[in-house]
Amino acid sequence: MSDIAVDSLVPSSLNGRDEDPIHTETVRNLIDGTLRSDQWLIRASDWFSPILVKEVRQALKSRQFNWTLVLLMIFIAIWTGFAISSMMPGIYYFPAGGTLLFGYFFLLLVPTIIVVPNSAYRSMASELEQGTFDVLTITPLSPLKIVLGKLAVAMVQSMIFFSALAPCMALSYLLRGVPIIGVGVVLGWTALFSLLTSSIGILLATGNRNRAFGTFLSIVMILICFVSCFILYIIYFENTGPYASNNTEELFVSLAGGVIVIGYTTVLLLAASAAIGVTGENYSTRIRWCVLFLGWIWAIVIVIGIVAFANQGASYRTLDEEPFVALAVVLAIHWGLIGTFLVAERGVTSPRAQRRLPDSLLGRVFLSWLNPGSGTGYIFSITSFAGCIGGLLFGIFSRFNASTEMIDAAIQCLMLLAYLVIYVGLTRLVLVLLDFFPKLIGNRMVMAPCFGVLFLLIGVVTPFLLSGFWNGTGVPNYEWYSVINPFWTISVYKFPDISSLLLLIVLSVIVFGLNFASLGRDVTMVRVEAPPRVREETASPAETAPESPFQDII
Amino acid sequence: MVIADPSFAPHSDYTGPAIQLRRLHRSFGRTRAVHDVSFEVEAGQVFGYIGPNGAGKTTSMRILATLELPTYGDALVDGLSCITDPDLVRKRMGFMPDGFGTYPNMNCVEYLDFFARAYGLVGPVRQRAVHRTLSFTGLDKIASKSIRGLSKGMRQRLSLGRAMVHDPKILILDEPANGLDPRARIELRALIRRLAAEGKAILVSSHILTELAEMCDRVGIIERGQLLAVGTVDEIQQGSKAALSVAIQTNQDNANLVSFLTTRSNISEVFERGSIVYCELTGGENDQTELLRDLVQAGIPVKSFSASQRSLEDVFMQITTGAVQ
Repeated sequence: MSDIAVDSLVPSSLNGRDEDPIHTETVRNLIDGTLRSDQWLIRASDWFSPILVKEVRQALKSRQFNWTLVLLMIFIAIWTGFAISSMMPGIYYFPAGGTLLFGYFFLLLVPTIIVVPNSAYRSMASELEQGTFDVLTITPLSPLKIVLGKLAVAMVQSMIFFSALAPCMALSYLLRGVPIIGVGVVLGWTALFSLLTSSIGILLATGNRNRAFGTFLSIVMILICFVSCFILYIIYFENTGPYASNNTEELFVSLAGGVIVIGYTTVLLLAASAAIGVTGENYSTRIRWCVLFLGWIWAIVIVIGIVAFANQGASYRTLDEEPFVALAVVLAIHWGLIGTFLVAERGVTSPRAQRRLPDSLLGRVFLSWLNPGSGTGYIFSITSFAGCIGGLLFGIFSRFNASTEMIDAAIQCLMLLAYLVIYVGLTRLVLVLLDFFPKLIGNRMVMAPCFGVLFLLIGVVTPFLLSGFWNGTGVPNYEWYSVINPFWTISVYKFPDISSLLLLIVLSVIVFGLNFASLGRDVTMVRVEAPPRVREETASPAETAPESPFQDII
Repeated sequence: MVIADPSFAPHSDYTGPAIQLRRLHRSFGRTRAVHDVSFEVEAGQVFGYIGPNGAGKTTSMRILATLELPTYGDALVDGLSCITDPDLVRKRMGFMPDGFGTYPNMNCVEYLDFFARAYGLVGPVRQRAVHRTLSFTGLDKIASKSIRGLSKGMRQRLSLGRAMVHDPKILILDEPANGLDPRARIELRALIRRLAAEGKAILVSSHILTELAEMCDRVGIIERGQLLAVGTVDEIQQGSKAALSVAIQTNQDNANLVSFLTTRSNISEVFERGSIVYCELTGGENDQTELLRDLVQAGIPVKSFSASQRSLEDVFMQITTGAVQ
C-alpha cells in the first residue's frame, strides 16, 4: 500500500548506524522496487472486475485449487514417464505423440471440465447459501458484472491448468503422429466447453435456494460435466484420431460451432444475471437481442454450410433437401426453446425500465417485441423464426435451382413455423389461464418448458394411439389427425399434398389469434419520464475513473 | 477522525430528508410484514427502530437496502426511490445486515478492499478509504487476520466497516449490537454517534432499548408491521398514557392510599410491593404536584413520594402487546 513507508519495512538491524550503508541501501531499493511493482499491480487491478480480483485472491489461497494444480503436475509427470518408458525403444522410430496426447487430454479434462465448472457453481451457490450475496447485491455491481466476474475467475483457473499442460502438448507434437491443427481444434473446444459448462454452473447455482434443491443441482452439474467430457472425447477422436482429416469442412464446423457455443454461453450468462437481479428491472431486452443475433448466426451458418459443403444433388445447381430441412429443424428447436422461456416471462416492468421503452411510432411498432412480457416474447420468437427461415430460403433459392425437393423443403420450413406457432402458443395460453389461479402455478420458468414438452408429447403420441385404435391393426397409418405430430408430418410430407399444410395453417391461425388477442398490457406500456431528482442525479459529473497502470511509463 | 473523502463521496444539492418511508406495505402471502409504515430520518440523525421479533423491522430495512420490493408505497434514500432507482441508492447507502456471511481465505483488509472496489473506488482513493475504515473501526491491528478467526465483536466491526467503506450518506444497521459484549456495545455506540456527528443519517434497529435511548435522536416503535409511535425518546415517553412512575410510602396501612389512588382518573396500575405503593401517573410535573397535594389534603401521612419518568423499555412494553403474526 502506498501509505506504508519503505523505512518501516527495512529490517531494524539494517537501519542501525553501525550497519554497512551500501547493504542497507540495497535492501531498501529492493523493497522499494517490490512496492513499486505492487503499486503497478494494484493500479492494473483497478481495470479488472472486483469479483475477479477477490476470487483470484481467494482461489490462490484455496486448498482445492492448489491441490488440483499439484495433483495435475504429479499425474502429468507420472503419465509422461510411464508412457515414454513403455514405448521405449520404439519411440525413436515410430510416431508416439498420439498415445501421449491421449493421456494429456484426459488429464486436462479433469480440471478444466469437472473441477473449474464445479468451482464456478460452488462459488455462486455459496454466495446464496452463506448470506454473502445480499451484501454483494447492494453494491453498485450489476448482476451481469457479478456473473462475468465469476466466469472470469473460472477462466483464469482454466488458463492456469492449460498452461501447465502446454509444454506436454508440445512434447507430444514433437514425438510425431499428432496433427497440429487437430490439437489446436481440440484445445479450442476444451476451452469453449470449460466456458460453457462454467456458465451453466453459474446459471444453475442461481436456482440454489435451499439445501435439498442445491444437492439436486449439484448432481445435475456433475452430470453436465461428464456429458461435456463425453462430447469432447468424440471431438478429440474426430480431430486427432486415425480418421481425422482436418479439412476445410471440419474447420468450418469447428469455427461455426465455436461461435454458436459462445453465443449460447452469452445467453446463459444473461439469464443468470436476470435470475439474481432485482425484480422489475428489464433483463429481457438484451437477452432477446442476443438470441436474435444467435438465431441469425445459426441461419447464416446453415446457408454457408449448405452452399459450400452440403451433399449436392446430381447437378451442381440442385440441392438435396434433407440436410437443409434437418438444419431448419435445429433452428426451430432454437426458437422453440427460446420462445418457451420467453412466454414464461411475467412482463413486470418497473417504472425505471419503462423510462427506456421505445417512444417513437416506428420504435413502438418494431421494438415493442423486445420488451419483457409473455405476449411480446411469443410474437418475438415467432417472427424471429419466420425471419430466419425467410432468410434461409432466400439464401438457398438464390443459389440453387428450384426443384420439387426444394419446394418440399420450403413447405416443410413453413410447417415448422406453424408448429412453433401452435406449441409455443399453447404453452403461453395455459400460462395465461393459470395466472387466474396463482396458487396453482409455481416457478413459471420451470412450468413453461414442462408444459411445452407435455404438449409436444401429446402431439407425438396421440396420432399413433388413435391410428392404432381405429385401424385395429396395431400398425399406425398417417391420417389427417396425425398432422399434430410434427416429426411424422414433416418426414412424410411430399409436394403437392396441401391438405395437411392447410390444416396446420388453420390451427396455427387459431392459436396465433388467441395469443394475439391476449397480448394485453405487454404492448400497451408507454415510456415514462424520469423524476426530476433522478434527472438531477444522472446529470451530475462522472465518478472517478481508474488510473492507467502505465501512467508512469508513458 | 474524519472519514469523508470528498474525492469519492457522492454529491448532490438535495436538502430533503435522508430517509423517507412513504406508506410502505409488504406482504408475504397473508402475513403483513410491513403495513402502512411512514417516517423520515434527517441527515445527522440516529433513528432507532424498535420492535419485537417479527415486527417488520428487518423487512423495512431490506426494502430500504434495495433487497426487497414493497407491495405498496415507496422508500426514498436521499430523495431517490429504492424501488425504481436502486443503483443510484446503493452508491449512497451502507447496509449492515443482521447476519454476516464471510468469504473463506480472506483477511480484513482484503474484505474491505473488495467492497471498496465494488463501490467503484479506485487507486489511492480506495487505499485511503480502506485504511481509514480500518482505523475508524479499530481493526487496523488485525488487518491481516483471517475473517474466519475473528470474534463476533470484531466481525460486527468489520461488517460496519464494509457498510461505511464508501463513505455513504446513509447507514442502515440491522441489530448491530446483537451478540456483542458490554464493552464492544459501548464502543459500537460511540462509533455510531461519531458517524452521526459527521452528518450521516443512521437507521439502527436493536432489542437493547436502553442503548437506543442513549444513542438515538428519534425512535420508531413497530409491532406486527405497524408503526405504533414515532418521535424523540422524550416525546414518546411524554406521549405515552402514563408518563410517570410514582412510588409512595406512608406511615400507616396502605389500604387508604390504594383506595384513594384507584379513584383518580389519571392514575393506573396501582399495586403494592412491600410497604411501598406504586402507580402510573398520566400527565406532567403539575399532575405530580397536584397528586402530592391531594394526598396530604386527604390526610394520608406520606413518608416518601418519588416520581420518575418511564424508561423507553416501560413505554415499549406499554405500547406493544407482544403479539406476533
